[in-house]
Amino acid sequence: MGAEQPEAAVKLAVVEILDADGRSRQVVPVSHWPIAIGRSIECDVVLDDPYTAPHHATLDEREGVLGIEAAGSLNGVSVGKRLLKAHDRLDLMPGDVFRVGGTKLRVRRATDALAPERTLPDARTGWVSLVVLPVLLALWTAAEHWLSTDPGGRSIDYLTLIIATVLGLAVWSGFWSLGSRLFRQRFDYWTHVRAAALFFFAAAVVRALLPLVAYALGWEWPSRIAYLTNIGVLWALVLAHLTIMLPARRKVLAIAMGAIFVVGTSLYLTRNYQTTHRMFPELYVTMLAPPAVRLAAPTAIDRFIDETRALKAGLDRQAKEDDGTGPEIDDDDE
Amino acid sequence: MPPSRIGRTATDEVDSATMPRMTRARWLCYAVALLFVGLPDRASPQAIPAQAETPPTPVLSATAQRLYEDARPQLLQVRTLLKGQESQVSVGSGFIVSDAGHVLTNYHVVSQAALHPDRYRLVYSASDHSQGALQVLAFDALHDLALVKPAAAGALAGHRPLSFHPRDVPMSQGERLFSLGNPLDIGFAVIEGTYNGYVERSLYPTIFFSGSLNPGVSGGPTLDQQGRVIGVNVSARRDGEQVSFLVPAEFAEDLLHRGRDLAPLRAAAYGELTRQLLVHQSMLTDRFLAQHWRHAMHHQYAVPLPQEDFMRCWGSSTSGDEKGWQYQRSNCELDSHVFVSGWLTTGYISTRYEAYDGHKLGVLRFANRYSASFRNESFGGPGNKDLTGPQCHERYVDRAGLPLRAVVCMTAYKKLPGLYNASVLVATVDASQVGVQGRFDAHGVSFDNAMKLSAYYLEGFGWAPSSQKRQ
Repeated sequence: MGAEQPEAAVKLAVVEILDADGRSRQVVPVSHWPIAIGRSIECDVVLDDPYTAPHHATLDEREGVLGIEAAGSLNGVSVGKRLLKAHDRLDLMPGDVFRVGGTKLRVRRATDALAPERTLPDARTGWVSLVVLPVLLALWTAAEHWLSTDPGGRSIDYLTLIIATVLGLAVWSGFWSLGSRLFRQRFDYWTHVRAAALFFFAAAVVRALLPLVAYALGWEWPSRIAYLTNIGVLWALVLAHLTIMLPARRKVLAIAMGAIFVVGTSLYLTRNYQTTHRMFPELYVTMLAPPAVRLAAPTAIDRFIDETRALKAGLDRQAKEDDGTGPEIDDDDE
Repeated sequence: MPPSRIGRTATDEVDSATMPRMTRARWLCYAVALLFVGLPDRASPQAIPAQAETPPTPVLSATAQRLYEDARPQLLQVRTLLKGQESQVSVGSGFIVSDAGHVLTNYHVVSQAALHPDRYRLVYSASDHSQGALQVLAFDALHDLALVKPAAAGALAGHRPLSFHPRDVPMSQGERLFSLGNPLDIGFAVIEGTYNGYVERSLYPTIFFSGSLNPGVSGGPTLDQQGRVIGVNVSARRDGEQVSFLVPAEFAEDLLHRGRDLAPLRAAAYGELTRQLLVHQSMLTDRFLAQHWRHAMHHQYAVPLPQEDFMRCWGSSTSGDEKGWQYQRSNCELDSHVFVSGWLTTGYISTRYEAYDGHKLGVLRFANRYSASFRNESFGGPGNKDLTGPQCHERYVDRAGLPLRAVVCMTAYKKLPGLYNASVLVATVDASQVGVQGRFDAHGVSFDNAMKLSAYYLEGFGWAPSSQKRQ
């Protein structure tokens, strides 16, 4: 807690000194206005910050409105995007964070409205999803194994697979909760587990579902984008983990991760196009589901062949673009 | 040896040094051309040094000795050298066929020099150790023959040329033949063997010669007992013994008549090669479309299979006691490969089908396995200096009430404009536990013919006559 204050004073407000994540690190009670902020021990709020002047700013209340006035300093006071130089004064709204030198501060007055108390997340629903999601994921991997093996497989194989899935999930979440420990001083382990199980499961569903849609409707694009969508879901999982670690940076993280995904995807598609003249490496829809799934009607062979003729223009262009004029790799085996 | 190992005979040419690459590219093994590229893997101590007078075959008949002595002055080694540096890239053989010094050899012996005259040049060396530069006058890529002539006027002139076996005098099976050439760059040699008629199911007539032809004898002559040229050494099967092939002499004679007065080729010969390949594909397509499909014995589907006397097919199946996935498959290929370069042959057709039965698997597992099999197809990589990458078109198509998933993937030849490879991939999609997947490949055909062949293949599918009621 803050420095010792003379007793028998009414607590008008508190000044909160914030850490980098915006949480209160130190609370200084205020029993009179104005109060001085700075490095000097004469000040009411004494900062241990080399980027502040001995007397850096003054907080004051005039006609019920809180305001801050910058004293003379090198670095000034900033509120939002405004920088206050010597003797500039600005009104503060309740909850406004302002920066004095390199330190972030916030003032809460006794008269300011308090946000209502929030309910704790329901521990029981939390546990349900925490059990259900990893179980779904494990069952999914077991089902994939079942699909790809002949009848009469060994049950130990399924058991091994299920245990490996759960263990993998545990280790993956463990690494992320180390990050949480680093930034938030708590592990948030189960939150990470829940996010990982949810997104891994979603990725598996997307992988299976998109080609199935392609098969059913006779469309090619859902199958083409299945791989990228899968990557997208896993990328979103990384974002979810980062958000759990740094909730205050939620917006910045989302923008940064989204931008990386967009740039990466563009590079990937461009590279594909330049090497193969196709955006996606998949040449054709490879899923052949049971006939009941198929909704698209077949076309006549003549029409199909007529449509195929459209390939000629592209192939001829491709053949011409690089008809051996570039440097050749040596033909010979020597 | 399982049948797939002795997949097919072929009269085409595959340069021996690039053989590993070729075998990777195709699933059956091939006749290899007898062009010698590089040193033998192991110089065995018994290897006979390059003394032209010492043939490596230890026992020789008196005829062989006489023929060899007579033909030796007409025999040449044809070497491809890297320009600028005098090292040889490949060696073959050749023989003098005119008083003016015209030399016949294989197209694949001179193809590097013909296609890349900026990088390779041709030289001959005769058994009397005389040497000189060669120029290509004409070639017949379809029969793998080339006509060359010394660059220096008058060189090789006056050698008594070898004469051709008369066309109207038939050979009989078992007659002795004598093949001449310079195997493995060791020295000129005579190899005795027998005439065994023509190779069956070959698009172009090819003589089946039972004798050991080795790399380096490509382009050398094979003589009858009177010393007349009956054929030109071209290729051999490496998975058999003494299974070798000759180009019949009549094509060599035709090329000589056609090309003897032509001016030497100056530029890269891709244009002429393309023209010949277009002729080839047109004939190939017409012959293929003229043969009617026979249908594979499937209880439910009609599956197109080429006639057995037209293409060679090999089949296989899972043993009956498999627990899950059961299939039968058949691969067919037409022996009509045309050599373009050491790593590229074209001008052939192949088909394949696989019939699956998943009753022991159940619907979902069958679908999974059936998809995996459909996925497990290659259409060439992203493209290389000869071919573009593939472009595909896919749809459900209807074949007389039978729904099929059809994919056509095509690539274009970069240096042979107007030629394409087309692959058609077909899967039946009407049943939940049985299915047939087929694949048809036409290499080096025009776009129109690719479309005709693709449609023809798709039309080969349908319901089996016994299952008409299923419609």
